[in-house]
Amino acid sequence: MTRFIVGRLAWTLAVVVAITILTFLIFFAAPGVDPAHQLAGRGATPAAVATIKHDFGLDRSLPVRYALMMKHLVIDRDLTSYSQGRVKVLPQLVDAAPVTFSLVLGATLLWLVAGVLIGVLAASGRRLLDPLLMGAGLIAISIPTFLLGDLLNLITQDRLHGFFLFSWIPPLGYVPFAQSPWGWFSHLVVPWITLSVAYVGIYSRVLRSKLQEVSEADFVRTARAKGLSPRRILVAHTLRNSLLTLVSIFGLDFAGLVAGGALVTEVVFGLPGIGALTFHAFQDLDLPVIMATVIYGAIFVVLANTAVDILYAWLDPRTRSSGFDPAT
Amino acid sequence: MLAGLVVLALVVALSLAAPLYAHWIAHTDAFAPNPNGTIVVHGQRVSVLQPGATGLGETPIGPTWTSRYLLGADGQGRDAFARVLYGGRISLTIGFLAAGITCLIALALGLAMGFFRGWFDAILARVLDLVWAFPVYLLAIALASATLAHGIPLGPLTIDSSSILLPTLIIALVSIPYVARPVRAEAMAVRSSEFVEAATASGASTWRLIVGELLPNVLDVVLVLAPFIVASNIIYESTLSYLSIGVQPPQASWGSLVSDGQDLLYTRPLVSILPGVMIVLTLMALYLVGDGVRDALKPGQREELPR
Repeated sequence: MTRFIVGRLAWTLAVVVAITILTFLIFFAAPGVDPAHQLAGRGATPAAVATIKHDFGLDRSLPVRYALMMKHLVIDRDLTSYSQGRVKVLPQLVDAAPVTFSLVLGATLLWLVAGVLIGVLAASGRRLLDPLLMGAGLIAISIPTFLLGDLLNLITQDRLHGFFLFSWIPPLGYVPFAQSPWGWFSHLVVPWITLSVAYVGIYSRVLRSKLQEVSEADFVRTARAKGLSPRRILVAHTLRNSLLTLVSIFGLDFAGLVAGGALVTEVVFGLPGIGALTFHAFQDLDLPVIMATVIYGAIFVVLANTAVDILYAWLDPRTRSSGFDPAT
Repeated sequence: MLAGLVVLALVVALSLAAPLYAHWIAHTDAFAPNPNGTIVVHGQRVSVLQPGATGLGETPIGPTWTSRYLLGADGQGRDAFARVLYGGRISLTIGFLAAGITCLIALALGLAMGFFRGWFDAILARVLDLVWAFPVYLLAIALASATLAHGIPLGPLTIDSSSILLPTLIIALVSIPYVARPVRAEAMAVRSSEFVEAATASGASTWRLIVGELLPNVLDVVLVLAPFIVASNIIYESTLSYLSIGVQPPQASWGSLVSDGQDLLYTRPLVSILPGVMIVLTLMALYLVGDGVRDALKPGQREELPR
C-alpha cells in the first residue's frame, strides 16, 4: 500500500507539471496569440502592456516565460488582473471558493441520496416502476442545466412565486452561512436541485446496471442458496459491491464541480462562485483570472484524482498495483 | 430505439426544411429584424411588436396559430418558430461534426496508445485522464479566450473567430478522452490476442497490424459511444452558446436562442422554452438510439456520460 501511495504521488507531481505546461502553451504560445495584449485586457495602456512584457518575460525564451509564469502563480502568488486597475487574483478566488463549495456540497448530498435510492428502486423494481424511473432518469440527463435553471427561475421567481410552496424563495443571490443560516439555505435550495438533477439521472443509471450485473455474480447466488433474505442480500452483498463503482466517479465529479464545473448553475442563479468569476472574467477578457482558475482548478482536480485512487485501492485491494503503472 | 430514431429523423428533417418553411409557409426572413412589421390575424391588422403592458419596452406578438408567426415573434420581430428550425441546423451540424472529429482523433490516439504501449502510452493516458476530469466549460473558456479574439491561423487558412468551426473544434477537443480511453483499453486487449500474435509472426508491418487487425476490432466501441458523444456535444454547444462563448451572431443555435429569449422569459416564455424543448427531445432521442446500439453491439459496455 505504501509503495502504491508513493508511486501515485510521483505520478501526481508529473501530471501537475504537465498540466501547467499545457495551460502555459494555450495562453502564451497558441498560434495567433499576443499574450501581452491579452493579459492586459480591453483598452490597455501601452505602459501596462510594457509592464506585463517585463513581468512575464515575454521578450525571452519559452522556458524562461514558463518559469516566470509559475513563479507568479505558485511562489509569489501575486498574479494581477490589469483590466480593473491591478486587482490581485488570488483573494478573488479565495472569496469565491466558499460559495462554490456550499453549492456543490448541498447538491452532492442531494444527488447521492436520490441517485442511490432511485437506482436501488429501479433495479429491484416491479414491472412498472423500473421503466418509469428510468424514463424519468432519461429526461433528467436530457435537460441542459441552464434550461432547467431558467425554468425553475421562471416558476419560483415569477409565475408561481405567489403560491405558498414557493413564496419563501428569496430573489437570486448568495448569503454566507455565517451571516444567516436560513438565508444561506433558502438561497441555495433551487440551485442545489438544478445542479443535482442530471447527476441523479446518471448515478441511478450506473447503479442500476451495476446492481443487475452484480446480482448475477456467483457470491450472490451463494447468498441466495444459503437462504438469506432478499433485503439482506441487497444491503450486505449486492449494494456494497456496486457502490464501489460510484466512489470513483463521485470523486472526480465532486472535484470537477468545485474546480469550476458548477459554472452554469452559478451564472444562472447569480451565485458569485469560482465558475461565475471565470465567466465574468471571460466577458471582460480578463485573462489572468481565467489563467488562475484553470491552473489552480487543474491542480485541485489532479490532487482529488489521486485521493480517489488511493481511497479506491484501500477499499478494493485488487486494484493495488505498483501505483506507478498507469494502465491500472 | 425505434422511437428515438423516429424523433431524431423528424428533428433533422425539420431543421433541414428550415429555409423551405421560412420561404413558402412563414413568408419571412428569419434573420432580418422586423420591428415595424404588421400582420393580419383574424381579419385584424396588428403590429408584430406591441407596446409593453407597463408602457416600457415592447412585447412581441404571441402565438398566432396561423402560418405567419405560428408561435409568435422574438424580441426583434422575427418568426420564433422559423428561427428554432434554423437553430437546429447549427446545433445539429456542430453536434455531429464535432463528434466525427472527436471519434477520428480519439481512434488514432487510442489505437496508437494501445499498440505502442510503454512511456508514450503512460504519459498520454494521464493527460487524457486529466482532461477527462477537468471541468469542460472551464477548459472551453480557456480555449475560447485564447482563440476568440483572433481566430486560429492554420498556415494559409484562418478559422475566423465568428465561424462555427471554432466552437466545433473546441467541443471536439474536450470530448476526446471519452472515446480515446475506451478505444485504448479495447486496443490493448486485442493487441495481446492470438490472432494479432499470429499476424505479427507472419511478418505483418506495424501499419498493417494497426489498420488491418486492431482497427476493425475496436470500431464497435466507437460506434456504441458515438450517439452519446453527439448528445453531449449538443449539450456543450447549447451551453456555450447560452453563455455567448459558442456560436456568434448573426448565426444562432438552440442555445443562443434560449439565451436571446431570456429577456422575454416572463412575458413570452415560448420564445425561450421552444428551442429548449427541441434540445431535450433531440437528446432523449440520441440517448435512446445510443442504448439501442449498445444493446445490439456490446451489451456489456458501460458508457461514461460526459457532463
